[in-house]
Formats: sequence, C-alpha cells, structure tokens
Amino acid sequence: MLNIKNLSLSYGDKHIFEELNIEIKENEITAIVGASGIGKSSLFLCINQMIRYEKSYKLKGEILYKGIDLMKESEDNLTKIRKNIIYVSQQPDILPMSIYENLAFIARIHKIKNIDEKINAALEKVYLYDEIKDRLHTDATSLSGGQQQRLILARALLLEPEVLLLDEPTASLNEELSHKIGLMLKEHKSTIIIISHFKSQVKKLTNNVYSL
Amino acid sequence: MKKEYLFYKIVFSIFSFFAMALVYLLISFILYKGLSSISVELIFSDANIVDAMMFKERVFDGIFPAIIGTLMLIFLSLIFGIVFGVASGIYLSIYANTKVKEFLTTCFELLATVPSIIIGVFFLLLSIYLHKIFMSNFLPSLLLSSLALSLLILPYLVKNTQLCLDNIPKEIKHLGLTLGLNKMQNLFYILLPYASKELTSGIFLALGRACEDTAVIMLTGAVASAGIASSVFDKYEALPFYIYYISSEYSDQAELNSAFGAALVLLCIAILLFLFTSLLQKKFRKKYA
Ligand SMILES: Nc1ncnc2c1ncn2[C@@H]1O[C@H](COP(=O)(O)OP(=O)(O)OP(=O)(O)O)[C@@H](O)[C@H]1O
Ligand SMILES: [Mg+2]
Repeated sequence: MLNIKNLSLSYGDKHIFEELNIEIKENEITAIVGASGIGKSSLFLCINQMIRYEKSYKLKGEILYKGIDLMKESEDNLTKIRKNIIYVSQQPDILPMSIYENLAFIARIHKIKNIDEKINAALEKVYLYDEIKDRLHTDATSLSGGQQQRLILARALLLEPEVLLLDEPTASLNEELSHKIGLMLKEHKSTIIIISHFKSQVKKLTNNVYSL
Repeated sequence: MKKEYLFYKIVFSIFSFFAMALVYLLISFILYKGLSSISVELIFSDANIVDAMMFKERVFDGIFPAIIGTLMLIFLSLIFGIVFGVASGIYLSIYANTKVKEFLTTCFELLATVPSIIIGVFFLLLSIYLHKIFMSNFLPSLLLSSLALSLLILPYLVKNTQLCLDNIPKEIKHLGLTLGLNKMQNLFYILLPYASKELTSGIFLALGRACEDTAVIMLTGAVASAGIASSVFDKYEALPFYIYYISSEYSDQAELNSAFGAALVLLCIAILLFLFTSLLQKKFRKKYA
C-alpha cells in the first residue's frame, strides 16, 4: 500500500537518512524505531509531504502510495491525499477552543455525518470520554499533556483515514493506558505506522519493525 | 546587582509616571472644558432631536452631522482597511516569496513614514486628475477621504496582520494542511480565527488613528457645513475638522468651548471604538472556545 524506495533526506548539508527502503502492508501496523534525533519524525513529514514546507531540505527516492509517487504529486492532489494519510504529531497541536470544537470543526469541514456520535466514539476509543464527558465544552488547552495527546489521536480516528501516522502517540501516557491504546490500535482496521523510541514497546504491537 | 535593579526601577517609574500624568492632564482638561459646553444644543442646535436622528431635519450649527460624518468615515475606512491592509498582510505572510516579501515590506515601511498631509495632497491631486480625465463625479468626497485614510493606516494594518500570522506557532500553521485542508481553508478555518484577537486589536487601533486625522480629510472632502452626506460621493462634516476649524477661527469664548465639547465627543467615540473591540474579542474567544 505504501512503498518507500531509496529515500534519502538531508537538511542543508546534514544527512538525516540515506537509501531507506520500507514496505508498509495494508491494514497492518508497522513500527519505526530509533534514537532521538535520528529522523523518525522527518520520515513522517516525507510520507505526508509536509516536508515541502520545511526550509532547505533535499529529498531523493520514491514514496509510492497506491502506485502513485507522492513526491511528484501537485499540492492540490496532495490536499486530497493527506485527508487519507493523517499525521498525529509528537507535540499535541490542539487549537485554543473547546474539546468538542477541536474535533467538530474538522469533521464539519470534511462533511462527516452524525458528528456527535462519532466524536463520542472516537473519545471512547482513546479512553478519554469518561474523563471529560462533563466538560466537553470547556477549553481544550487546559487538558493535561497526556489528555491532549489522546485528543489529537481521537481527532485522527474521527477522520477515518486509510493510513495513520502516529508519532510517539503514547509518549506521555502511563503504562496501563499505553497498553490499552496499543490494543485498540491493534484492533483498528487501517494501516498504521507508529514511531517509538524502544523496540521492546512495539514488539507487542507488530512484527513489522524498521529501525532507522 | 540589587542596587542597579533599584536604580532602573526608579528611573522607569519616573518616566512612566510622567507619561501617565500627561495622559491624565490631557483627559481631565478636555473633560473640564468639554463637559461644561456639551449639551443637546451643541449637538442638535435648535433642530428637533427625533427628526434630526431620523435624518428628516437638517441640523445647522450643531455637531450632529460631524458625528455622523466621522462614524461614516470610520466605517468606510474599516472596510477599505480590511480589504487592502488585511489582505496584503495575508499575502505577505502566506503567499509571497522572500524577494517579493522584502520588497513590499520596504514599500510599506516607506509609506508609514509619509506624513498624513502629503497623503491628503496626493489624493486631492489624484481626484482633480481623475475628475478631468475620466469621471466627472470624482471630487473630494467621503469616498475619497476614506480611501486616503485607509492608505494612511495601511502600513500598520499590513504589518499587524503579517506579524499576527507569522507569530502563529509552526505546528498550528500547517495543522489544516496535515488534516487535508487546502491553503484557503487552512487560512479561514484555522489561521485567522487563531489570530483573531490580535488582528481585531490591530485594526481598531489603526482606526482610532484614522478617526482623529485632520490633515487628510480637510484636503479630500471634509468641509465646515455640508450636513450629512447622502452618498459616498458627497462632501461631509467630521469632528476633527470641526475642532480644527472652530479653534482656528473662533470669535468668542463660547464658540471655542464648543470645540472642546466636540473634542469630548470625539474622545468618547474613540473610547466606544475601544470598548467595541474588547467586546468583539470576547465574542470571538467565546465562539472559538
Ligand atoms: N526543518 C529542519 N531543518 C534542519 N534540521 C532539521 C529540521 N527538522 C529536523 N531537523 C533535524 O533533523 C534531525 C532529525 O529530526 P527528527 O525530528 O526527525 O528526529 P526524531 O527521530 O523524530 O527525534 P525524536 O525521537 O527526538 O522525536 C534532528 O537532528 C533535527 O535537528
Ligand atoms: Mg520525532
């Protein structure tokens, strides 16, 4: 479904990775592991082509998504493609509005039906619903770091993308919650690429592990 | 270290005290002089208030037409300011490449240094030229004045809009794009609401500057007794011009006092503008919260 071939990235003169080959299988979880600063998040930026908005990057190789090379696509086409390849970033990028509105605004733009039900379902999936059900309409920026991280995961799930790019989604969660979210992802029916610092953490999730 | 800190603290306190004292003096002076002369008569003269408010009866000698003129000016400059200023700021922050950005930024900075009287003269000449060549009804008017005023505040609007958008954190700036929105949707659904508070503050601060300018309007359409403009192509009255006109040609103390009354009204309009802004900001925040 997603094929990365001979991908090399550098920022200015700084090589990040070279000749990277990764094959992502449909509806399976693939894990990317590696030390801090090795280029895991940058790889995600290459996949959703948001790297185009970085300064002085050099990118070579191919990123084939359903047979088309994303690197050659126009920005207009990428806009449509990105809706199906949702990136959940390492730093929670929530907006200064209510918890509900953080999910609803994007659902409305993408004309998703039965918004309220779907929002509740997405929040349930990330084990956030019970914690916040009586303050859905309060400011989302006052949530804790771990809650914010789960909120943006819920936002991604709500859009039902074909591919989920999860950049350390459980970094600020305790063991129990990480485990529960891991199980949820395992049962989730879509292609998932997940970044983690530790091999041991992702062993439970998948056998497709690439280390950078 | 501690001594040094204390020294700067005292110095800065003295300066800020002087600044505040000046503001206090100015406002109490206008209040003192203005309050005694402000009356129904100052505003409506001997016209029937209800009829005047419904624009049925023309007010001679009162400042009512000048109040309406100033409000119309503010409204039109607001529209032109948003159209030209905010749009240019958006263009500079989001769409322009580095070269265009540098060039235009320099242009706007130059424009910011142009005195308002020169902008007034420019628009006066422009209208004469256009009047002769193309449009016979293009004379000094409300429209011309508000265009000139919006040019006067353009640099501030552009700079403010650009800064507001540039200061949006990186992860928010591209959030919409990663969620499958196009650039336009990202702008309208995420960036502008995110920056709305600072954007509106900037716009209304600039409008405050526009509504008290006299040099521009006296060359582009403000006159002493035009009554209320019936269209944007008419000449009009405005408070700053009224104040300027009275205080330069008054014949007795009572007449001068009416200028203070008008000054107080102008001050009130500025304060109302300010209150309106904070109200709008609260509303924005609520809607966005
Ligand atoms: N826009 C950029 N310009 C220049 N260098 C960059 C840019 N973005 C990232 N880098 C550098 O590229 C390297 C890889 O960064 P990246 O964020 O991909 O690492 P990471 O593997 O995700 O690390 P972490 O596990 O800490 O999140 C880092 O050394 C970083 O400093
Ligand atoms: Mg990273």
